[in-house]
Amino acid sequence: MLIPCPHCGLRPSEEFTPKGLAEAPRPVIGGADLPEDATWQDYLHTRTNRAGDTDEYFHHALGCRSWVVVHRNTLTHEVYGATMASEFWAQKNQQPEQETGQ
Amino acid sequence: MSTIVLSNPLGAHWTAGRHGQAEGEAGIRATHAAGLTIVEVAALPGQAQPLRAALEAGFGMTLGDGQPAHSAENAVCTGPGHYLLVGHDVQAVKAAVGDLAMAVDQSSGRVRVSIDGPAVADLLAKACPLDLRAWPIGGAQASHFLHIACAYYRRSEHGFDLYFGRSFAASAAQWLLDAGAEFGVEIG
Ligand SMILES: [Zn+2]
Repeated sequence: MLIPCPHCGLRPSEEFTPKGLAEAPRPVIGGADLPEDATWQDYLHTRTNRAGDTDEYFHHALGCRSWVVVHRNTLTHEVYGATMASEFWAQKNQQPEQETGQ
Repeated sequence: MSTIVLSNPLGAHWTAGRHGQAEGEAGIRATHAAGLTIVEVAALPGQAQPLRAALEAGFGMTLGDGQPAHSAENAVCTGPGHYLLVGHDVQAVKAAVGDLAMAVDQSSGRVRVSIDGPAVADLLAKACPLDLRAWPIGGAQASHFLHIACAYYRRSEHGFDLYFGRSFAASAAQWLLDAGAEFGVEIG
């Protein structure tokens, strides 16, 4: 599989670390804002495992180290494109997901 | 003040002279730049463009947006708003970038090996996934050399600078000598 990194151009998927679906922002943690157990459970463990078009986080670990969101089809393995994760969430008009490191 | 003596980061196998196939012209010529000053610079959020402007004004270099063509021999782009500034005074770099970016002295953290010669493309074909045909001279790419993270800068048709993390350099060097043996490697 080849992934078109917005910074680096077309690169083999071996350079990337997959990090799951880019569906919902990470719940806020800390202070008085502890997430409800159910919200946190969902975030950690519930996966839709969609067969078809998906948006997924990939970390370009052996490249420019950017977090990107890859738009692809899990049935056909076709890759449509990739967006910087920060721009992906800006386009969705939502707060970017908190950076969690690796 | 005590003096710190750094051992050869490329390991015991990396010795001057001819390695591997001994007949004719060496397919690979390799040099290690010892004592090089390398400062890693990373723009703070939203400051990548002002950082490029500050570097261009401060050091008279021409940079771009980070695509392969947009680097300089002494300013190797490794990611969005990320550069390895090579051969510049550390304090001068910190003064030039001000509060636009984080600047960290990586002179003892990164190792540069330069390779050249008629067999360089054949050697890179074994270690690097990038398409040399789509890689302009003067372009930098952050990728890998085998499994080792590596920043590349293309100096010429067959000339490349490879930047490794110091603790991976001996492994990379030993592999380079083994994989280059069929072409002959001349270490200068
Ligand atoms: Zn990248």
